Amino acid sequence: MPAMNSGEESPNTMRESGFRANLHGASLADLVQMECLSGHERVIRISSGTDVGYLFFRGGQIVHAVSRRGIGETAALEILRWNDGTFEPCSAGWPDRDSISSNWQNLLLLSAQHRDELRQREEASGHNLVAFPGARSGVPRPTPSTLPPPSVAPVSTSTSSRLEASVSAEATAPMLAQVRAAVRIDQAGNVVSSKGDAGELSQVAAYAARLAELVGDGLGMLGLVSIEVTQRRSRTLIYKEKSGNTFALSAAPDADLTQVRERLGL
Amino acid sequence: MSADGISRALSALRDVAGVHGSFVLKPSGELLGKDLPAVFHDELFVEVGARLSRFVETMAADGDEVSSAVLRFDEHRLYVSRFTHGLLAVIAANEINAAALRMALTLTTRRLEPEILALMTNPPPPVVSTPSPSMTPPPVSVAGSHGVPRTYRGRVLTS
Repeated sequence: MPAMNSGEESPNTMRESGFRANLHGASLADLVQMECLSGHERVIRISSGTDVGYLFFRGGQIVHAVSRRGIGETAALEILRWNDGTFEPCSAGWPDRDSISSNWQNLLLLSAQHRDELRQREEASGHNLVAFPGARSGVPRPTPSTLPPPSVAPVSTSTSSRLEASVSAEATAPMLAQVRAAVRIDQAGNVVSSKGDAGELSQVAAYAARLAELVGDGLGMLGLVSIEVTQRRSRTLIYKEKSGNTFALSAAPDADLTQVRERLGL
Repeated sequence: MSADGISRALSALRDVAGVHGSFVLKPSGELLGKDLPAVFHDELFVEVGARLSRFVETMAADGDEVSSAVLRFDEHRLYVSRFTHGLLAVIAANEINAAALRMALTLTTRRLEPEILALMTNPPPPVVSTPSPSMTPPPVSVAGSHGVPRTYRGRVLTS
């Protein structure tokens, strides 16, 4: 990402003493490391296509970030995912409170992880991948109102963003690594998407879910939500989506499905 | 151990708040005992037991035996614990201390298993049931008997 220092500076571009650089091939990771190691208090405006974002550096950390889509960690991670564009120091106003508590190394790691996941998804596009299901409407997913209050209370949107980022990147990734196979089947039993060797899993999930519904009906328990089975060599989770589709995954026996349950609202 | 004895053993599970009741099945799904409100009559478990047994078989279709399962419904959960000679199932509310229930299940299973084994190897003598009045077939009408009109193919004969 080259730094922009032409005459087309934005109105709030900050003019200060020192060298002006024009670096081609520099990445935002380079920028972050440079700014954080310098320890300066500075706001950097980053442009990438039509996107614009701001990173706020102070005391060797990124303490705040703003993009069109969010504030805080979410914005920082979004900006750090941009592949090309320009950056420049600017005089944007500082917030009353910091919105980022993670250190810059962690942000760069998360950003790299997101890039890897994105690349894997792109490489697998056209293949039969399983998107992780969201929670049923009846069981609310964690929202800012249901989540515990943050220890530091910056802007409310950044609170939810931080938690969202940590769930998607830090918590889900290790859990997904333990998944051996996953499959989504529609109400007719057709495989909508799958991952791994999910041939038998789809049949097992479809029949087991039906039997569980019938058992529930017999005992007066309606509305099957999920089935979790612990076996000697594996763990199986079957989840009935609001759409009527059935999502199933098979994981290692020692897999910690806590994050899955949380994500599904179980 | 009698069915009453099994029920007594199962009743210990109710110590865990949120447990509505429980039942024990043979691996084949036949009901061995239950500790449930009367509304859960035995006939109910002919189908429920068979289906739950098939459910466990299905999950173990690839040879990976089931240890336990949790079936979550909108307002209830069904915990199923498999042991050597049967299945123990617990009907519970969604808000339940799962750790406490797991411990209670372990203890109850330990208590039930040898007794169920004994029950299966020495089954009680079959109970000879006497037909209840409602089960007694109606008296066969004898054509022309006193006070009973004569009929032919359901129609009362007038002559």
